[in-house]
Amino acid sequence: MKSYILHRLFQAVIVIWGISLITFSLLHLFRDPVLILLPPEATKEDVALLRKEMGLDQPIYIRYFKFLGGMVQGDFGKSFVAQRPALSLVLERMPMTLWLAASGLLLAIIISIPLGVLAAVRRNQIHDHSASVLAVLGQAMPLFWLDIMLIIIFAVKLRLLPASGAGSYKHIILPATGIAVSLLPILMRLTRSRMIEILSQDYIRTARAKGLGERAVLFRHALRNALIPVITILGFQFGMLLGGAVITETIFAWPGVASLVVESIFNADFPVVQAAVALFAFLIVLANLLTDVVIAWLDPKVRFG
Amino acid sequence: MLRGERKTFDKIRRRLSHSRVGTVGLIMVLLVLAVAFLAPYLSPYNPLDQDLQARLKPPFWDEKSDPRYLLGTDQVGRDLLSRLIYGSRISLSVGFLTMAFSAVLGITLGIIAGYYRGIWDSIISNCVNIMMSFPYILLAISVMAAAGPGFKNLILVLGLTGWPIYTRLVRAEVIELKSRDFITAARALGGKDSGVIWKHILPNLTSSIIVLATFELARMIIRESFLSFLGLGIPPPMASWGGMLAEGRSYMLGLWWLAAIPGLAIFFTTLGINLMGDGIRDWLDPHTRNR
Amino acid sequence: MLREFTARKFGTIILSIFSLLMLIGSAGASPKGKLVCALSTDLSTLDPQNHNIRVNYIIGWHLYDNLVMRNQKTMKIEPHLAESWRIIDDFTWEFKLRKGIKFDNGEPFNAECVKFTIERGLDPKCPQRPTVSWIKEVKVIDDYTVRLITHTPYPVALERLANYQMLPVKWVKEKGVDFIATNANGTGPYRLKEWKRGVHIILEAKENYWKGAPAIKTIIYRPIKEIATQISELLTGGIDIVRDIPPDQIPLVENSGIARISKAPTLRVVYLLFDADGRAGKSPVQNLKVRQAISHAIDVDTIIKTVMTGNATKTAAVLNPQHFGYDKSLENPYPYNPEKARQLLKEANFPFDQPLRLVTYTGSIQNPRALIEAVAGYLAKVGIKTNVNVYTDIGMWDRLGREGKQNDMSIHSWGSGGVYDADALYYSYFRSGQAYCYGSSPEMDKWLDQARSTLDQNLRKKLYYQVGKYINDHALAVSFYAQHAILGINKRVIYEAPPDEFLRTFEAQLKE
Repeated sequence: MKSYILHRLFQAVIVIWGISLITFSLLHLFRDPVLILLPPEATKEDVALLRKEMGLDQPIYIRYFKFLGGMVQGDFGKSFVAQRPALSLVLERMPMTLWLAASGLLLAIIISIPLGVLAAVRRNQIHDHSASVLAVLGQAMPLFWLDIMLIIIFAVKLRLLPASGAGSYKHIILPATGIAVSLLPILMRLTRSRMIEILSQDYIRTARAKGLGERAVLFRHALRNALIPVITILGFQFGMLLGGAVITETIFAWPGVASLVVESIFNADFPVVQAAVALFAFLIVLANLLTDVVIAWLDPKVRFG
Repeated sequence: MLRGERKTFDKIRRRLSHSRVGTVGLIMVLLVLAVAFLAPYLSPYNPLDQDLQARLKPPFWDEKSDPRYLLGTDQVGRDLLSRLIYGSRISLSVGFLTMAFSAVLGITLGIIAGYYRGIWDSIISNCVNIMMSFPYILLAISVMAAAGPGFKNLILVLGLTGWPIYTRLVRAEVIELKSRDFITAARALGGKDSGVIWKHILPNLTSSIIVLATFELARMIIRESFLSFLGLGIPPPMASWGGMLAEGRSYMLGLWWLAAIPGLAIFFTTLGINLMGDGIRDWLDPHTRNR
Repeated sequence: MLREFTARKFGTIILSIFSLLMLIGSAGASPKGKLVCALSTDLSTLDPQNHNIRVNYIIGWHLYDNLVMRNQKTMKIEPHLAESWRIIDDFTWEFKLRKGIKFDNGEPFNAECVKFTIERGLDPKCPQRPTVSWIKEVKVIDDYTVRLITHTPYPVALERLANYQMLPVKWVKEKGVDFIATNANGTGPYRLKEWKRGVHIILEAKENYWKGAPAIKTIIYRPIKEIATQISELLTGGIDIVRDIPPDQIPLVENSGIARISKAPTLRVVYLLFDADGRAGKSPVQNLKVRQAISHAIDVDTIIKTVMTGNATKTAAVLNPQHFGYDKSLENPYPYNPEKARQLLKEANFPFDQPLRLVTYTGSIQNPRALIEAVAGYLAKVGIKTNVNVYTDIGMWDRLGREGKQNDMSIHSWGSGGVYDADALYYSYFRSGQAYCYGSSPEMDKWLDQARSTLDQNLRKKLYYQVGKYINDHALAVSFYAQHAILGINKRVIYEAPPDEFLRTFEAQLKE
């Protein structure tokens, strides 16, 4: 077990390093913050001077080592745009994104698990088909369209909820709904197929033969085992959530870190992008690691396989 | 028909009726494909013809509509119906080409990782982990910035973000297959690796790959609209449905049909693809087949 | 004894009543109410000089003051922190500063502050250097008199100083640059109550503002990127002012019942620039006949009427009627004539099979996609194929422009930073060596340099006319139009759209 955890930790470090390397390369090779910070009337000398001040005139490998050195100490430099330490900027906005993701995920789970179970138990009947269609809705329309529709219906037409911003419990409802709808399909589908698989297996038949009630069979044995791959999925779905968060945060003016990242990419605000990507990578890797460890602990086959 | 063929035909028919969901999906997809192929015959106008004096006309149900343009016109007076019909070609080709690109790349890497294991597996698996934790927006923006806008670059970008999911699946399946008896036998018989892969491994992967590819097709169409939302989609004057949707989103209050109509087209198509995928999966999966 | 006592008591009472009345009279109505406005991007910093984004300027004008200020109604430059000024000689401007003005922390505003703030801007790292780069030296004559020595006679001095906020020297030196990026200490009508990045910035009125307390007590600015969301908030009463309503959404706002539209012609001009110098590489547009043909091929009047729904003003030689140096006779050098265009293209042996690059960007141009597609449509009608692109990546757009990679045709807009002078536009786009110049000549260089270093307005007008005529004769650009600011304002707010794109919500009032 210990060697497994160590092995996974080592992998985690590699992943975070790889992500930071790719991010660094993409930023420094393809984007230029100097021209963005200076007005169009700036002369070539002004540009060269600022470039020197920002340390961007040095060869790329020197820049990378400086960056790497800073990163392991947790120093990503100062944001070019805001003139504040990039990491603190990112940490400030991260909780809002996490809250959005968690609410959306929770909502998705609450809806998709029962739906998946129902679809599995009543296979190929009307429950199954309608659940399929309902779940697929989330993958059949772009999230930004759904978000704007939610605003138009619930804020403008019905005046039930605020159109944007964050602050009260009312503000999280629409954004979380958007995220939840985008996660529904995969969660529901997975739950359904796993439930179907498990329900047809021997130990379930044994349990039924033993005379246990249908509900007990369902909950005690089937559900618990079906959840294992679902938890695995959650690990890497977390990465997909960033894409959904970007759209949702932009449309709802939700002050999270995802919209900050996109803005910073366009502004060539390298320190902020690097800090955010590193932090996100860290969280995703952590999430994956935790889920893998939990599953390994639960399922002896994986532990020694 | 020969007796053998008729039996297969009946088998297919029986299986199809088992999955009504899948059949509905298939019909929907075939409908969209038909529209795409028959675009020049179905489209009332050239989708590029502008008519500035008749811009932003509403569809036929509105009193201010122009009888010449059934579904109304866009920002520069182009017929929305024609753009919708031709847009199917673009959305579908982006979807298919992207799916093909990521599938080929992903499957190849997955086979290498799963069959040969060792150092290749470590490298490829780590790459997969990195790519899956990596914000693909950054990749998209950077590549588009470097390579410039355009159809080919869009396929490249979407393809690069879509391959890890194939690799992960294929690798796991190949590992499992390799441990099976018939593979060990084939290798013992002295078959070359490539022969074993082609003749024994690959055919057993087809069902899972087809299911995955189907769902990925739908996802890529949606992802293209996301890139259009960021301004990195197909450059004008061509327009995919995703592009039309992204353009029309500022008008959803007021000139709502500009976004609703392409949105409905995307919805219909991806719904069909997803239902078809569900059907295929139910059909091919031995566990879920007989009940 | 008694009489004295009573007299004194009486006098004191009279004096007290008189003072009280004066106090009540001078205080005026107390600021009240709340105003919420939407911004398309968030504030980047509170440091008045460390940026060049319009959003930051707007907030900056609330917290800090400029030496002079443009009156929104008359559009004339008026004294603000500077009480008066005079030109001592061609190279010297003297400003007399208003006395008794204090910053929030009590530090007095004086000539030292002016010197310090201007010298800050002269740092090559400062994004606002062009605003003050014409100043060679700042001389403090006494606490309330300051002289600016210029490199050359600089005619646009006042215009530039109308957008340069004054900082308290002691406070900045004590707290450091990082502190002032997130804190404010100004002489302006509002003080900073709270700034939560990405959420809102809350401004609170100063009752004792030297010019008189503003009418509205609390102003909140919220950054919301999506225009659909901004309009939704406007229609539900969540936001009171939306700055950029798309022209096609005007009916939606006007029929909403809760908001109205306020329009004003702005300084911002939109035009198509040719790579006439071939700076980005060999191009068919280097041929004069090709440029003239393209100019004839585009029907600007129809574009104004349809795509801009009539909310735009025609320009001449790229200049806005409000620019100093504008001449109406330079309008429409190439009337819409597709046949003539085709003929010219044939004469020029135009390579019809080679598509031309046609690009623009989002942000300051209204409805850029519709505009560029309309232009592409007109070009297609005369046989010119185009590769169209709309850049949402402003960083990329800027870079292409400055590195000389904007080949063939690009559609630009220029807001002139509130400077109502042809120098602001012409110099950056038609003076060789400037980052954005793609069409130049030695004659124009001479005229432009001369016009920017003389104070003789008549001479300058003549010079700019010559530049404009050159641009027209050589078809270096196709003039489109000047945009109108279209604001969506809640009906309870008394404020009109500013012609210079600087939102002055400190002058807004709420209906009773």
